[in-house]
Amino acid sequence: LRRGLRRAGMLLLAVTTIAACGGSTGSDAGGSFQGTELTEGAARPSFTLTDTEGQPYDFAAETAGRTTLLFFGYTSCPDICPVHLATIATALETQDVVLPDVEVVMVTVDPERDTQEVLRSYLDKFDPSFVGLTGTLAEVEAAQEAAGLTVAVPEADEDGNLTGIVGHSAQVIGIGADDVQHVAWPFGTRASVYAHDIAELGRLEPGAAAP
Amino acid sequence: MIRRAAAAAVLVLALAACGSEESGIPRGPDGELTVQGAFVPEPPLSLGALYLVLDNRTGTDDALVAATTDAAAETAVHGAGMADVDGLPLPDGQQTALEPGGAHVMLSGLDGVEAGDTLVVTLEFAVHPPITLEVPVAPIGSLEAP
Repeated sequence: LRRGLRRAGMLLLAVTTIAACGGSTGSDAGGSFQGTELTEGAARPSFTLTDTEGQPYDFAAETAGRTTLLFFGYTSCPDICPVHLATIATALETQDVVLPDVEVVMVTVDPERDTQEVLRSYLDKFDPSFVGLTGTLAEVEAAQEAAGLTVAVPEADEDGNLTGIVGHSAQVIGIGADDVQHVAWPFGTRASVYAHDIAELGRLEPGAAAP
Repeated sequence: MIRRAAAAAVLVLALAACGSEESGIPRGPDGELTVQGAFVPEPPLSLGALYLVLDNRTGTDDALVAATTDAAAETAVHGAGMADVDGLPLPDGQQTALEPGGAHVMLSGLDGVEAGDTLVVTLEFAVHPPITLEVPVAPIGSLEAP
């Protein structure tokens, strides 16, 4: 019996693991997303930060009416951030589906270390068109709150080296031309899922939701 | 027994499915500590991570305590998140995966390392003698070995 229980446990764990990977749990009927569908209809968040040219960037105004991918990350993140960004860059090159013009915006949650220059050289490794935003710690915290995320807290040692980030939200948020947040992609999302969902976002009409 | 092995295979497959298209990594031989699937994605700047799967079939619990390479200025064994760990436990009879989103060896000061390069890395254990291996550098943001 014990052996049987253990086996059941293993299978259960396996099933749980598959579910935890996220991805294509929804039906594939038109209009559905393969990432995590956001059904609350939260609006495109509003915050102003500084871009990698040192210019103010009013997120809601600059990206209004455009398919937008919003990600909060940091350049000394060893794995989650580069995987997301590289996967998005790959997805945007896909020829299998018709993709809209997409604005990809990464906001640093570690502005102390992620200066404009550091962010620019980081994002250029993935796609020079990706927008990088930084600001004061208070400003990037306000941006995370505006996006409905828990605020990530950078921790550093006495030399100012990052030792960890507590509470970093690892998902990427997909916003449609209707200025509504529709989908969140968890860590591990594949390029094919991004491409599918970005194409879905691209079907949304600008201004469908009144501001 | 065979069914249990099948269940275990499904589990390994499921775990691998998060990071890899490939099926489960085969078990190492009895009596040995083996390293498989090691890779370092090209670092966007100077900070990178080493991933691999350790299979402890030695009959003794062990731990990965350090990984060193001339290519990096500093290295640290991290559990999930960025937490420094004293040693990553390698229980006997188990495969322990260091994979994107989980445990990894953080490599800092990896300047000029690009996809296609090979790093020579020495893994140090609490019990097992050190293992030196050649680790391929994969494209940036890779979830698996090239």
